[in-house]
Amino acid sequence: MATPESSVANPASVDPITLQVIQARLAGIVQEMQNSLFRTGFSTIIRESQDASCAILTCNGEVAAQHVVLPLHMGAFPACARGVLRNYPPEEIHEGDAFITNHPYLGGSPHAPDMCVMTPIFFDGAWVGFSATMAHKSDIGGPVPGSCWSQAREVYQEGLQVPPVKYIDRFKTGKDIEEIIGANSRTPELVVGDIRGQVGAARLGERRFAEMMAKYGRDVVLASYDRLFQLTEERVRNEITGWPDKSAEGERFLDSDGIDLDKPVRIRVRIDKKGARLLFDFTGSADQTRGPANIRPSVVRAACSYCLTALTDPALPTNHGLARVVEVHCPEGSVLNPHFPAPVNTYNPTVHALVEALFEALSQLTPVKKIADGCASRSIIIGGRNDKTGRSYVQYEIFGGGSGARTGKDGVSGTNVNQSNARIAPIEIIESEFSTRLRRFELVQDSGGAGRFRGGLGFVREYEFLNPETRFSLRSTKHVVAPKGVEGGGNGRTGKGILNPESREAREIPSRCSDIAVRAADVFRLETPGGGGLGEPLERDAEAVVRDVKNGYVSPEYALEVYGVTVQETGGTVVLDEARTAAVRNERGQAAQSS
Amino acid sequence: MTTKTDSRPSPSVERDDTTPPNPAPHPRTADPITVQVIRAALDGIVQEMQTSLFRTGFSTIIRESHDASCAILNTRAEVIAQHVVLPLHMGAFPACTEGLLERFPPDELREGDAYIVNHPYRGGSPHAPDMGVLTPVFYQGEWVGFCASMAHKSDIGGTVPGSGSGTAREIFQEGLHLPAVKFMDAGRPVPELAWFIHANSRTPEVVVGDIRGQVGANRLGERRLAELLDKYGKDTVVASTGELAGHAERRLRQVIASWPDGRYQGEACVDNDGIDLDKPVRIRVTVEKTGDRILFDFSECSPQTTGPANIRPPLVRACCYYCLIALIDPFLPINQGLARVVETRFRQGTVVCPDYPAAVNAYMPTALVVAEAVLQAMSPLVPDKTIAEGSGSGAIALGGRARDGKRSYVQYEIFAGGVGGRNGKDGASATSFHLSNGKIAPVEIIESEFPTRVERFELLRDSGGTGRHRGGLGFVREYRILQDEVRFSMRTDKHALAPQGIDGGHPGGTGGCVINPGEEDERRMPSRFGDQRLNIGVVLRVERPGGGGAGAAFERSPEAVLDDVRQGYVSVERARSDYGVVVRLEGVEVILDPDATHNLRIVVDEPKS
Repeated sequence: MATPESSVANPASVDPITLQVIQARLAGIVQEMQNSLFRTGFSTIIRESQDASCAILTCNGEVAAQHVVLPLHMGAFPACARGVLRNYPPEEIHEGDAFITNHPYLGGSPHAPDMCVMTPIFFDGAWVGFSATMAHKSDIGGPVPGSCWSQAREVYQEGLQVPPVKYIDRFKTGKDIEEIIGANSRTPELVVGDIRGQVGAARLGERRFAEMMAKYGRDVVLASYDRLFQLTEERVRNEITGWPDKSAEGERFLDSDGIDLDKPVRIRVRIDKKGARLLFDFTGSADQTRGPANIRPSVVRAACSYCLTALTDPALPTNHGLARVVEVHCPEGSVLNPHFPAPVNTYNPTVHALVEALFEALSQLTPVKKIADGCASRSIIIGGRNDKTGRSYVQYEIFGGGSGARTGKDGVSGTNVNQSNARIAPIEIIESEFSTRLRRFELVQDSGGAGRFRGGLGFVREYEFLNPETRFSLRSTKHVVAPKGVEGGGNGRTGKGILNPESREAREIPSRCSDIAVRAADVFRLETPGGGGLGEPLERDAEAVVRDVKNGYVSPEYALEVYGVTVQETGGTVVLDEARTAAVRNERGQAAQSS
Repeated sequence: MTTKTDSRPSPSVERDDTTPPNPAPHPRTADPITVQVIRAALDGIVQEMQTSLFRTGFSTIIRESHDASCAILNTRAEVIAQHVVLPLHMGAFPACTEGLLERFPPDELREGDAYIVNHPYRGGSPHAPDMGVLTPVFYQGEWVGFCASMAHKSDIGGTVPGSGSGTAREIFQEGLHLPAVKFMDAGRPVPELAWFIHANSRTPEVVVGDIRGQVGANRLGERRLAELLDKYGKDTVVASTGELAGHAERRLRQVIASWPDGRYQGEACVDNDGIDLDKPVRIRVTVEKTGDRILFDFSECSPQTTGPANIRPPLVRACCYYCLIALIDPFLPINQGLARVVETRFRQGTVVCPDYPAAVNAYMPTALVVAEAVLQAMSPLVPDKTIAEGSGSGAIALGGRARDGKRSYVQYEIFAGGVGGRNGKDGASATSFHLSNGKIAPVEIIESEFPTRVERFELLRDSGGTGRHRGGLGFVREYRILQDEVRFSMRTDKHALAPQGIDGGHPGGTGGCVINPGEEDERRMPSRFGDQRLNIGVVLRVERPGGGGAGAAFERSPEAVLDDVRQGYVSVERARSDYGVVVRLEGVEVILDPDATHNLRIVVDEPKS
């Protein structure tokens, strides 16, 4: 039973205090759902990497509240809800139902491993919205363990595609859907366990939501939505209005699409700003790629929303109001609006390039907030059969590296950036659950782009494989195209993947490759990129450089070469050689001026 | 938790079942005439189902290649009637039905239900593209059995168009896998299932259309079965099916008892598994015959393969059924009587009893080799019915986006080639045989439905193994690709190992696959691979193997060789060198030179193979 909330009440009638309380409650509900989801996770991807998010949606699928872990899901949830509503008219939506989809085209998943579970929320017998979760699955079949094949050419090579279907009918789990999902996964217990965890989190959301409605009244809550959307929209539009009316452009490249390895993929944006309106036009972006670098427009929108949040108000309530501001033009058949069934599994590096292009363009409109390029994101998948248990396992990890330097601040080292907020899985967990040993995990010295504000450092992680036969995939970027510095800052160091480093068979592998067969005692080393720097390195506070040297972030040689800073060691501590530093910096400064 | 762990042992009830199963008691209340009438009626029903299925086929695979079969099963998941198009399905149907009953106990079955299963381990599909549709049959409110159909699907996703990658390493690379699931619930379609299948196929309309065609064929079977029950009464029909099974069993045991007791071995090899290209895959069978019992022991077959050459025990059993039918009585009613006679032994982890999730998509070449090994082992038992090896089977899949860019297409074709020479008869040319009876899709259909032109389709002269009874000829088919980014997979056999002759007969010609033959970039392909990309203008030549010969070539009658030369089956040179038969051209007429032939056959020893 649909309840169009427009018929409810005058949004203005909700008093501001109540509105704030409801806003905080909504944020609290999604936070609690999220905690439940992470705590009940079967797979390390959810439990440790936290690659999942939760939201409360209106009956139309508009985001009423979403947790900020994965800003991309802002676009994904409404698209999934539209898919569900296309297949099930309101009269077929009942209390206790649960819907599931992972389809990038029929629903809104960024790629198929991200499965969305939605349950309708009922209050007093009436349907009032959806409680939704989206979580990455360890494996849903397909050519490679982890289901993300860097050379996929169609979605059919990206694992089981689940159209929007009813998974639970009035609290009764259907016999077949779960069975099909299990039968098509290399790790069925983890996948089905995690789906059930998602249902649990969604049910918790339903309950909390109903409690809130019981306390404040259904009409007040629904009216608050409209007001909250309005407030978010106004907040962003007010900020935009203060920017100059003009057009700005940004451009970035991805290493490749995984198939045409020599061909960087262009992402281009032109932003037309007029009054309180922003139009994001992506004409000029590459044609859709044969490999899996494509992303769907719902993801593009979410990336735009993310950038606006970052530049206007990071504390902005995440809701549909944001979506109203973002006007987007993605040419059909481009990498940002591909035709079905173009592959999409390596969507995240594309989104990173997109976000960086957006920041480049937006920073021309808001010059006070700048950031250099960061490390983007990457994942590794190690899969095989455990020779002790005979079971399949899939070790999936998501990494960032160094973030770009920002106006007034250095970049952060060994972290995730922009729209990805997943965490690095702890060594102890990896070694206890998978047939892999971690031999090294440390920051990469000198990998942060030099600048007045230094880019964050990338890190190195070295794995030793313990199984006789294991299959390994990497989906990364910025191994070729370095994270750019801004305002004179240097680039961050590129990433690198090496098989058996320090041996005669040492072999560098491309940033995207799949299904490499590795044997026991083989070693894989992954170096993740550092962030770009901001401002002239010679302008960096010399004491900050000394601190970097002390921390091992910067080597003494690099400090001299790039920052013009000389350090000396006295009594076991590193100190600044003020005189030589001043001399060197002075000399280089003059050289720069005269050239 | 209903999800099965992937490490559970495969349900191989066949392992070590050396004790004969107890035949269920059957009330013998039907008179012999009625039994025969009911047998014919049952055969007629499956034939009618089959015809309906072929006629309603959306895909060329069903419509033209006839890669589908129908059966009727009783409530114990035993076949009571099956059409003979695909003898392998004799093993597949009961395994699918058992898989269904495991998930849906009898009290959950409703009239109007339809179930789909295509899981090789949790059902009995040879490989996932073969989808079984099972519908419970109800008579006067009582469940009396199943109508079943199994049909190859054009594409169910996975690594390559057509879902059969010659280099798959796990079933997860072989497309969507469905354990028995409900497709229709008491007459009402379950939309989620159709959506699911739709979302995971490159050719969704064709696949869902063909599934509906299968449901239709089953419904027809249900109706006809009800009419039969109306006419003769349920008790009589049930008694008759029991009697027919008893008849088949008695007939087999009677013949088996007449054979000498002993252990007989047969061995044949598959080229390779698609991954370890230099390593033939060995099928070895020891047939132990004692009294009226026969045990097929496969425990010495190669370990399971990394590539998709594995087959599951229900299919191996079906190979044994097929061989018994072929050797004892081609007109034997096909029912569970066969299953009662065939005892098998497998070793877990071998190519014929692989551990989940070993890849199985190229099962057919292996099954044919199993049949050849079994026939070879049994040839001392039935010396008047021996046959040389044939071409094996092969499938090609070409797929891409249709020219309108909106849909995908998958051109899937199955081929055999030359049959081996037999006692008293030459092998047939360019045909399917043994376990596969699929037809070659017509050129006109291929060209009207797919962006492919067939530029050549003819028999390959001299490809039949020489012998007193010549092996059948293989053929060549040459395709020109008419659009870019076409993806090509092949799963076949006998490109490396030639079909062997018997009794002094010579091997048939090996098969081949060449891309751009005669061009600078000519490339010879292995017998199995997946996802080779082809662009517009490329020529693809597929050569199919010939059958092996039976008996010494010099014993072949000169007239028969002359006829072969006239037909173009054998060249003048090979007639002379291989058969010692001299022919020459007089005007437009090829004529035999009896004297020269006589002299040649006396002085020249037959060349050694």
